[in-house]
Amino acid sequence: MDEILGKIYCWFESIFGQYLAEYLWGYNCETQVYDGKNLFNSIGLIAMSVSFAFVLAYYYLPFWGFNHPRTNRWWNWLIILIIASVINFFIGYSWTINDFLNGNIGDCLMYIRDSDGNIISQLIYEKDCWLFGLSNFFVSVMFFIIWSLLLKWKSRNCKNSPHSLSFRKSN
Amino acid sequence: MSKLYVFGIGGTGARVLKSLTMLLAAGTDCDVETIVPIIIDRDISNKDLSRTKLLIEDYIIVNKIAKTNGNNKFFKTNIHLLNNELCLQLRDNTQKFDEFIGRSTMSNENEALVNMLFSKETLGLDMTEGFQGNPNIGSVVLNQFDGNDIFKAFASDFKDGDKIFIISSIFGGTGASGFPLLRRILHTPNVTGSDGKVLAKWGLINKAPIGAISVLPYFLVGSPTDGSLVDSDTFIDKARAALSYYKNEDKKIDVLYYIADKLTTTYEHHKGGDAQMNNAHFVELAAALAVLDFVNPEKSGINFHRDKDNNIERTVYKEFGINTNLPEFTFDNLSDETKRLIVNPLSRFLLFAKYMGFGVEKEQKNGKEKFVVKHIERNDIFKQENKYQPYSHKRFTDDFRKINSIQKLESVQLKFVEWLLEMELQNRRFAPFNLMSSNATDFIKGNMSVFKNDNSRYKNWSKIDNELNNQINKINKSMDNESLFIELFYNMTSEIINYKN
Repeated sequence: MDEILGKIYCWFESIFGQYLAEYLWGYNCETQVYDGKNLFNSIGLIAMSVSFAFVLAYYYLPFWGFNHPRTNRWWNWLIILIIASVINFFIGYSWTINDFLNGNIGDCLMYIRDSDGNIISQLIYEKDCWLFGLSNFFVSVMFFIIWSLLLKWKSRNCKNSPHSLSFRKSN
Repeated sequence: MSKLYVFGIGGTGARVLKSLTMLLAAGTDCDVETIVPIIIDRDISNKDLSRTKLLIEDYIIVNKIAKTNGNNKFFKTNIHLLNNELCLQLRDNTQKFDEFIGRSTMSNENEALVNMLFSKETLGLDMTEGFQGNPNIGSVVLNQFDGNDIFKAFASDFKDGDKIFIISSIFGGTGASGFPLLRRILHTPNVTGSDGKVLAKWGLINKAPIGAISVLPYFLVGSPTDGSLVDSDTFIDKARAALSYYKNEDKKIDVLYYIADKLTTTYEHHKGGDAQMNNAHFVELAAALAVLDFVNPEKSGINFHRDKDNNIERTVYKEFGINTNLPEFTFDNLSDETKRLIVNPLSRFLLFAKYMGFGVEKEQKNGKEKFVVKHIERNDIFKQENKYQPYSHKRFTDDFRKINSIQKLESVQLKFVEWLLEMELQNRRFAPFNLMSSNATDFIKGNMSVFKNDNSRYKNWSKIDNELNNQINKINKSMDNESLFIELFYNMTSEIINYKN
């Protein structure tokens, strides 16, 4: 159960790379087992929460133009989706880049070294952190859509937004 | 629930019936279930009558979808036509008055008498365009009510508890002569039908509660250009003469209402026919309120004074007035009772009409600025929003407006705005609304608290859509879509507009 979020992120593993994924799974270079913190869960829960908060606001918040008869167009929903996902993009990026720059990622995941300890090649680059941010963006989009489907039905003004998500007849 | 038979005599009768229909469309409280209008007019081609006829026909269609078993009051009161006819057909179709009285077949003595009683112009008068202000002709020609098929239908339709109301003007021809004649026939025992048999239930009609309004002069007509005999200089004299004759109606009518206005508008002169179309006037609206006053059960103690044999002990006389004598007046200048009756319905129905895009615009025509009532595409909030708002989603789509009853509803809404504008264009201007406004919450003039929840975070039309989206969740959706539509808009408007005094 606690691997669900990690498995979702691994759909995008080819984007941000296997070694960063290993780190996020909690792989410990010293013990060579996954006894570190599963960061997919942490980042995933934040992504879920941010999406949930924005979906809830869009459909139910009684101010700032949310749940409003003039913001129930599909593009209004799309704008909120993009905002929530961009926030998650930066959360994903900043989390991983922080660990990357602070040396929190185990050496065995960062480099391939020869027998003298010289670096032969680097396994994780800064761009992988950007790409993980992008993956978090996609995961966030997914969560936003799921939350929208689950939460929209009781909204007074936006229950049919976006129309393409109306898979059942609304009352 | 009982019925009210409303006889509208002449052009004024038709116009007051139009105002009554507008009030009922807007949902003004009427304490009878069904109104049965009957228009008596020799000039069946006059535009006032045809406008009223079209309005009533539209109303009847919309009324069918207005039975929602919910809160709706728009179009709630039934309007029923006897034999599907609005106008009482007079038996003869002669054109000239001297043909009607058969002057050519009279003996020399009788012809001499007729020549003494009637002028040459009167004898040669073309009656297809009414009696042109000649009640002396009207009293002769209209004396043929008994034996009429519509009276047979009237008698067979009439039930115990039903009431009768007569609307007529006192300063013209048809109304002034028709009112006492009609009252007399309604109180004549054992009236026979065209087959010579006594009409069943006529006894109920003889004893039925009866009210009437006599409309005194409230407009003038310009100088005649077409040989018409109508002369507004004689209106006051004719009214005075008729009033002295109406003394005879005392204790024969339960309630007799009078209304007049000194600040008159002068209309272009037309003796009748298609050209006779007067703008609506507040006097006609007030006259229509007399009909509602007559059937108001709270007023029965004041209105009806009958002895134990159900004979009228005394006639109650009533007049209508406004609080301040101003050329332009709004709801503020009406009495509390009138405000209670009409502020909410008129405002609510106008809000509905505005949402559907009906309003007034200034247009240049032949170098002159003119106010035009029309469907304004850019103000059609329903069209702009029905794709997006939950209340209309998969329910009230663009095709919805092609349904006959909805088209008729919109036709009444257009006529309603026209009616309001016409009342505003009189010399005595009843202007309670800013008809040019495209805003949802600033179109009512005056210092009244009409709109509820003015601090709402939703502004203008989004406030209306928000309320529609709210109300759709509360409505019983088992009714058909058209009924749901009218119920929804009634609930929305009554939630937005709620005047209390």
